[in-house]
Amino acid sequence: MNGESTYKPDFITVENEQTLASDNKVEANNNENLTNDLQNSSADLTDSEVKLIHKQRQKLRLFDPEDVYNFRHIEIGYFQSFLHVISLCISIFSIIGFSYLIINNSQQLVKGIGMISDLNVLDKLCMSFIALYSLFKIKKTLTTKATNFDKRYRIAICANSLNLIVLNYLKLSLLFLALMLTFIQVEYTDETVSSAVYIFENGVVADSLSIITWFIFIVMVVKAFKYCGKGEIK
Amino acid sequence: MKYLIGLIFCLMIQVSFAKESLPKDCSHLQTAMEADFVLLSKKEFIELGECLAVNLIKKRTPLNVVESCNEVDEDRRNLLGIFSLSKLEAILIGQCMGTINYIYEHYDNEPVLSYNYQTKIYQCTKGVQAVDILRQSRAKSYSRTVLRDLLCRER
Repeated sequence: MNGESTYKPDFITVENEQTLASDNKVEANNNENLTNDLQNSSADLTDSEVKLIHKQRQKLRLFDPEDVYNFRHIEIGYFQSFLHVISLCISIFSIIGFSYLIINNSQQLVKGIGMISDLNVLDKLCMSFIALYSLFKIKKTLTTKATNFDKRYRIAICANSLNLIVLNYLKLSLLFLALMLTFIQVEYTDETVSSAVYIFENGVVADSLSIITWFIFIVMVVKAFKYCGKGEIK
Repeated sequence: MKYLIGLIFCLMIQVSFAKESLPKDCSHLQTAMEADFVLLSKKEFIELGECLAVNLIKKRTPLNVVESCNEVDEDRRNLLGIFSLSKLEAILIGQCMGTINYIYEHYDNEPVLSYNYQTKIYQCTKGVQAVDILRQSRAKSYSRTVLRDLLCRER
């Protein structure tokens, strides 16, 4: 009645560093509470399952963007982040180097003009689509906030996606090489290896195979970048 | 991000860097030489190939006829059509067609030069038949007389 309210004011004051440190401890405690809740709440999970989930949270992931996305609320350690950066550099270097090699090696010398490229329309369309799609997805990752540990999470998911693309491409090349060599062994046993490989380099067979390989590669790229830019928290 | 786009752009535009210059007869096709998209300039590339082939025959430089005419056949049998055509392949197709057309125009219905005064004339093939003849030939080098002997019959 004389200007005094019934309730005392309830301000939170940050007096010194100790209160901030205790906030971090509160967050760590929250993680432990999460696990206790995990153990207590669902009666189905056994002890070993809980241990498995703990192990999965701390695992180093290099080729697994889906699990990086699923465990995005877990803080990534600095050493793991360092390995992600190294693998990201290696993948970017190999992707760009490989595209440069394709573009340069496909050039042949024509008497009277000079070096002319042998990339057909389909090759150029697919390569531009993949480049633009990757850049679009990476830009989207860099602009969405998905977790509190954003820089490390973004590095992790970009590294995982690009590493997965490189790994899958190596597997695809190996598979096609094995199929091609088997086919050569069965059909063209009398010819030398280099002339038999030439059949697969240039010709109707090669062009038909290249549609299939480009299609598989585009599906690979789209699936690898599926989790980039997802999971925005407001 | 901008630098990545710039780098990829730089890699893509390097493709059309030509070190030699066109022969004088073909200088009207300079724009065709610098163009890069087969979708838009297929006809110009074929014309460029024809012009180059005629030039090579006139200068008596050997040209790889088997490879060029294989490309013509491949283009005919291809599933994808223009999607699997590259600039190099279009120019090679033009070279094959240019060679065949040049031999036809130069020798068809022309009298055979011989020591005895028999009047024989050449009859030369054109089109798909000529392409198949050239593809299956196994000559060591292809000069004008060799091509004439392959494609034309004395009648």
